[in-house]
Amino acid sequence: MTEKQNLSQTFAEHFAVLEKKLNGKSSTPQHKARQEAMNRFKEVGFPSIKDEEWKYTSLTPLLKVHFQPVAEVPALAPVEEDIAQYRAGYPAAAELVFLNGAFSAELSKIFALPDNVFAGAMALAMEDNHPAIERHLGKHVKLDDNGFVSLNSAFLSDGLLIDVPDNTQIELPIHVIHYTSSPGEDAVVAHPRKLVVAGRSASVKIIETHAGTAGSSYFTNYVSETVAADNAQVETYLLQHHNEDAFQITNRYAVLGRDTNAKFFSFDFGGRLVRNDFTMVMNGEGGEGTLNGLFMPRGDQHIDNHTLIDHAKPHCDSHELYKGILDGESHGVFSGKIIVRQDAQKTDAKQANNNLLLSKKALVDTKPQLEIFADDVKCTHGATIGRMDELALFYLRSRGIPAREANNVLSYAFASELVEGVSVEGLRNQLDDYIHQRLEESFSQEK
Amino acid sequence: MLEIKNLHASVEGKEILNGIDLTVNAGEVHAIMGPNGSGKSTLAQVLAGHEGFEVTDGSVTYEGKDMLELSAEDRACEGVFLAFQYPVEIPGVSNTYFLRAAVNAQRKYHGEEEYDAVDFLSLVKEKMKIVEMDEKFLNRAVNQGFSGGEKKRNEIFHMAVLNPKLSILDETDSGLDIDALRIVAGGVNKLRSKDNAIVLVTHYQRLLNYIEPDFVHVLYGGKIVKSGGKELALELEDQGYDNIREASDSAVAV
Ligand SMILES: Nc1ncnc2c1ncn2[C@@H]1O[C@H](COP(=O)(O)OP(=O)(O)OP(=O)(O)O)[C@@H](O)[C@H]1O
Ligand SMILES: [Mg+2]
Repeated sequence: MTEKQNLSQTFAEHFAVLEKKLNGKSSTPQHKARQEAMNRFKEVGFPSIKDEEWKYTSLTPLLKVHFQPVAEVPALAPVEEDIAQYRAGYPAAAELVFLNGAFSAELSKIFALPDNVFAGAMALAMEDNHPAIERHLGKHVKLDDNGFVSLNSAFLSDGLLIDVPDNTQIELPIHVIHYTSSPGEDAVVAHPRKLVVAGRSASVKIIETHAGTAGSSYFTNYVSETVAADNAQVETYLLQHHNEDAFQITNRYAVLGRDTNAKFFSFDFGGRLVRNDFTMVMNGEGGEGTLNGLFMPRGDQHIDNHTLIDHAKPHCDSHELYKGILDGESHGVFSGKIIVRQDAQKTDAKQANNNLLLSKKALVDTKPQLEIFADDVKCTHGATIGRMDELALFYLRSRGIPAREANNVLSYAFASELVEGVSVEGLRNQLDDYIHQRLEESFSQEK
Repeated sequence: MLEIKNLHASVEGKEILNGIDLTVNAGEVHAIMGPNGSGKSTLAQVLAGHEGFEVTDGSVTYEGKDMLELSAEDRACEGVFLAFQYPVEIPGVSNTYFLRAAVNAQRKYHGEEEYDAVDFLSLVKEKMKIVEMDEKFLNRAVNQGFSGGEKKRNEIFHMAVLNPKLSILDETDSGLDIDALRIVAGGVNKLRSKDNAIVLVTHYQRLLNYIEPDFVHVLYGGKIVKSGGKELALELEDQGYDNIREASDSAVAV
């Protein structure tokens, strides 16, 4: 048996274990959906590098890991020490903690949320037949895209639901921690899930930190759906701080309505093998969507970002900026597709991917793609791959700034545009510190 | 202060400086003139520690130290300043941030306490007056979108803040209109003292009406071929470099 079949088999077994534990609940519509997803997974399986969308990312390292079944992982004792460092540290409306995808009431805190807002365990919302679940959960992701979405859906039993009703504004950000706890010998696989529903003219900011047990090569398979209704304002920040042995696959979907303004930022620092797929659909006239990302692999990390911006309706603007700072023997990928449908006249789409290589062995593949079917549109895209500007470096040094610091200042400057776009001051300051510290680590090593 | 002896430097195997001798004492202003491509900027950059140029022979002693042993940043901390012929744009780094990093790096080098943002701002605001610069330039990215004249003024502003002992100004006057020239030259004159020295690289005698040099040197073919007082600049302005070219080319031929 190949490694790929092996791991698929493992997941099928995991699913069987889960089913046994269901104990009479196996005929619920939710479980029917799970079974369908599992069947889909069995058909679709894992992608391979022969697949055009996966040609730069080989899953071989992931397929070699032995994972223990989710359902057999003992219920986790909440451990404050593990997650303390990922807590917001700045004012937040709520701090919601998920351990291996399941909501932890003990570790979570609500500070200031309007009564009509639901922010918490999806399991609870399912039990209560929350309308957002019925209407939106699993309705935007596409099971067929790749095996990971179906896999997540097959094991879906809890997750995060944020439902902000029409005309409701939440001032402070909701801070979320997705922690994959994998303390034992066999690695854990977690399938965290998120659904955000922002009603008409609602506004919400979400900051989600993804992290896990140090030194363990766990696997986090994340799926997120965001539905932003007309005139809603949504900002989401994903901070990925996994350890450098961990695997993370994310599949995120966002659908924007009329006059909606949505911003999605990703800051990817950790992970041994990270693959992020993001689909943003401009589904109402006058919408504005921002998709920004900073990725900073080093050592032998591999971070792959695949984005798709789908302009379905006229008069929408999209801004996309991904920047990579790559060190060591790391490998980065950016593949950004923009589709402008025939109906989407007056689209204004800007896309850029800029990469800075800090070492000779770092590598980046970048592939911008435009598919335009409308005739009255403005679309620009560009990609660059460069090294440190020697003349700029000399300029700084000739004023007294030591080489190490000069390198740090210039690399930070390369990323600063993305940090400056962060509207939450506390987060902006944290990112500022963290990126400087990470660069400091890069430049303190002799090359 | 500075003693250059038989300095040879090359880039990619091509010799650009071939035997420069120059002595600069505290309190002096030296002007270096010479046709395009004669090696003026190369000399300036070699002195500032640019690693792209290889020093193949000769020595440079600065304040009793072997200057060629020092890194670019250590030379700056020891008081050497180069105003670039083409100041570099640094997107994403504000002018104040850059300057504070530079000043604090130099203070740290000397074991002095670093400035906090507030103290630094008051220092900077005072120095801005020297070059009549608007405060809006503080928060803009270094040189980005600055006009040619603004870039040159910004260089002198950096010089004012860093307060160097030896300043090398590479064509800081080129391309300036008369008002900007007056401001830049006025700034340099305010910073001139008996304890520091200035090397001015220029093509134009006009600058020397504003900043009076003690010595004028002509650099040609990577060598100083003629030195004199300020009257030499007038002579060059009048006659161009033809006489010098002929004299030194025939000297080489002999
Ligand atoms: N990095 C480099 N690589 C190759 N050649 C170089 C380099 N830098 C300078 N040179 C060459 O060295 C010579 C001297 O250049 P330099 O810039 O020092 O002249 P300059 O006297 O400052 O001229 P200008 O008056 O035009 O500023 C020129 O022929 C130039 O082309
Ligand atoms: Mg020059």
